[in-house]
Order: sequence, then C-alpha cells, then structure tokens
Amino acid sequence: MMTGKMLAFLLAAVLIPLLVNEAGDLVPSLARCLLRWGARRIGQADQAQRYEEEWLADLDRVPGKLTKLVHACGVLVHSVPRLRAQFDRQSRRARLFGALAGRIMDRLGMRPAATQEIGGTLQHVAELLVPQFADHCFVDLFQGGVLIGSVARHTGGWTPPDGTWAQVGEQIRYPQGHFCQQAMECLDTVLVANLAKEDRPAPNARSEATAWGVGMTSIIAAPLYARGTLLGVMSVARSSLTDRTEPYYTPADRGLFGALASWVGVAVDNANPSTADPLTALAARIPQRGHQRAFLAIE
Amino acid sequence: VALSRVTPATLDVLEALMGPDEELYGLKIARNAGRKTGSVYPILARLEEAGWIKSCWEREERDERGPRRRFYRLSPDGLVGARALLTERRGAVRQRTGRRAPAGSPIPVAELLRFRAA
Repeated sequence: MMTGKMLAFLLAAVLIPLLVNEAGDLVPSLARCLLRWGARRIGQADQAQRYEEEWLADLDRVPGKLTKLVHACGVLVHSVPRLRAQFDRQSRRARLFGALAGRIMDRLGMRPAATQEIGGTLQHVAELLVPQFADHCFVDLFQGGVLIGSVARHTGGWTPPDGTWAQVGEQIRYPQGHFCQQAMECLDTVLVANLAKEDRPAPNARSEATAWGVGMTSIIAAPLYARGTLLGVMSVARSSLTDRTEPYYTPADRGLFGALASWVGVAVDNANPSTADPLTALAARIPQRGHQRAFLAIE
Repeated sequence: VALSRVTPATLDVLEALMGPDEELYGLKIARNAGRKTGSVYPILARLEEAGWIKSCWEREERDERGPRRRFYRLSPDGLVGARALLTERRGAVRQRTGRRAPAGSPIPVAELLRFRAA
C-alpha cells in the first residue's frame, strides 16, 4: 500500500513534470524538423532552400513552445501544397515554352532568310505557338511605312467573322492605348494579364465584340525590332477556345515571349535584302543553341 | 500587371504591405493582415511572381546568427496596382499595421513618395 503511494507520488511529482519538460524542449526541434521537411516537399531545390530558411527565421519569432508546433503545422497544411502547386505550374510553363522556343529557333535559323521565305517562316512560328502557348497569334509587319497584317493563326481553325478583326494583307491601325500600339511605342513587351480587368481600347466596336465573343482572357504583345528599326509587332492571346487550367499569362510568360519576339525581329530584318548583312545573319543563327540552353536553365 | 485571382486574403495582405514598416517578413505580414501565416506565404509567392512585390534577405550571407528573415515590400508597379485594387474592392486604401492604424486612414503623401522613390 505504502509502496503504491510512493510510486504514485514519484510519478506525479517527478516523472510527469520531467516528461512534460522534456517534451517542451523537444517541441521546437520537432517544429523545425516539420518545416524543413515541408520546404523539401515544395519541389525545386532553390525554392526549398529559400523557404526553409525563411520559415525557420519566422519560427524563431513565434513565442512559446507548443505555439511553434502549431505554427509549423499551419505552414505544413496551408502553404506547402499550394506553393508546390504554384511552382509545378511555373515549371510546366517554362518546360513547354522551352521546348517551343527550341523548335522555333531551329526554324528561324534553319536556312538563310529571304524575303519570300520569311512569310512562311512566321506562319510556321505561329503554328508552333498555337494552340500550345496561345489560342491566337498575330504578326503585323511594316511595309512601306504601313502596318500590314502578315500572319493570323487561331486555335482549331476558328476564324473571326468578316469585317471584325483585320485579315492577313489588310492595313492595321491600332488606337492609342491598344497593347500592340503600346508595345511599338515603348519598344517593350506588354502583358495584359486579365483583359476583363483592364480598360483597353479596340480598333473598332466590331473588333471588341469579337474579342469578348471568343472569350479572350489574356494577351502579350511584343515589338519586332532589330538594328534600331521597328519592323512590326507580334502578339499572342488566350481565349475560351481552349479549356486551359491557366487561362492567364504571367510576367514569366511575358519575359519568354519578349525574348522570342526579339529573335523573330532579327530573322525578319535578315530577310530584308536592303538591310541584311552576313555578320548579322550569322549572329542571328549562332546563339540559338545558347538561347535554348538558357530556356532549359529556366526549367 | 493585373492579378489574375484576388481573394479577400490577398486584399488583407496588400493592406498589410501598405503599412509604413520597412521590415515586413512573412510572420509579421500575417499578423498585420490578421491571417494565418500558412495562408500568407502562397499569396506572397503569387504577388512576387506577378511583380507586385519584391523580396530580399535580411542579410547578404548566412552566418552564425541563424536563419535570415525574408523582407517583402511593394514594387512601384505593385503599389499603384494595390492602391487601385483596394480602392475598387474596398472603397479606400487602408493600412494594416501592428499598431492598428484607424480604418480608412489614407496613406500619407510622403509615404507614397518614399515607396515610389525606392
């Protein structure tokens, strides 16, 4: 009887407090381990390293011991799956565009450009971009100081109703504030991430109605520019013609498309007999493998 | 650049980033925004991908002082976008700070200029 009481006393007064104290000391370590494990689940090594350090630094500022564990569990449950999904999407996008860029660069550098060939080359570039990267692709080139629609490619053989969007061969006038006009004015790539949220003027009411009718969601426009000369503008758009998990372009897409447009600009310039010179033509073709490597590095 | 998806939590985080504090890190932003830390990190990643915020380490290199905090602040484009978005969705630009600024208090002009200059 006496021994039982002694054991109960020892348990209540010594062992349980000791265990609680020990657990209290271990809980912060457990929280750190959980965060490290969670950061590694994100996917890419550089992102894992970044978030591990960031989360551990934030954990140091969480007061208490059990609270640290609750905080770590919160990060594990709420952040890790969402960040993993976000970075997976980014990675897929870069891989897709990397593969496309490789094929496009091969096409652009396949043979010496010539005026009569550049139309076919641009058409092929548009065919590579649609539908994988875009639902609509347009290339407009200056001819004698007038902007002319040179390529228009749409997903699934869709064509705009007559008298709405400019046809290939027709003169194009973009109003002030239009993304293509802005790209040519600023000589920079313009991203309209969500068309519904930006007030962008259309060339005319019929054109605007067609864009809404086809469910246009997101657009990128880039100038075609080489050797100090603006040669035209290239644009891509996504719409409801394709059921995409990512209907909107991102700043990363903008950067990739801008790089592609700069190569297309050089190819177009080389096709012009009045400006082409062997050195530039050579320079346009030599770095293509390097560019492909750069895209692969993004992956 | 417009954000493709805006949730109430995104708006709360943007209000927290509008605050005058220069050392805003994930945990502090979550506290100021009144949101769970776990839900704030993905929002910050999305804002950073969209170019609305910029982030940098507390110190250049890791050292014996332990893990470094990651500081976040609105980029000039992000500041303009956030102000427009908050005005559109909530009717006013409020700042969420640890000191609980009064609701609806406008951003001081000097503060805006400082962000634009950064």
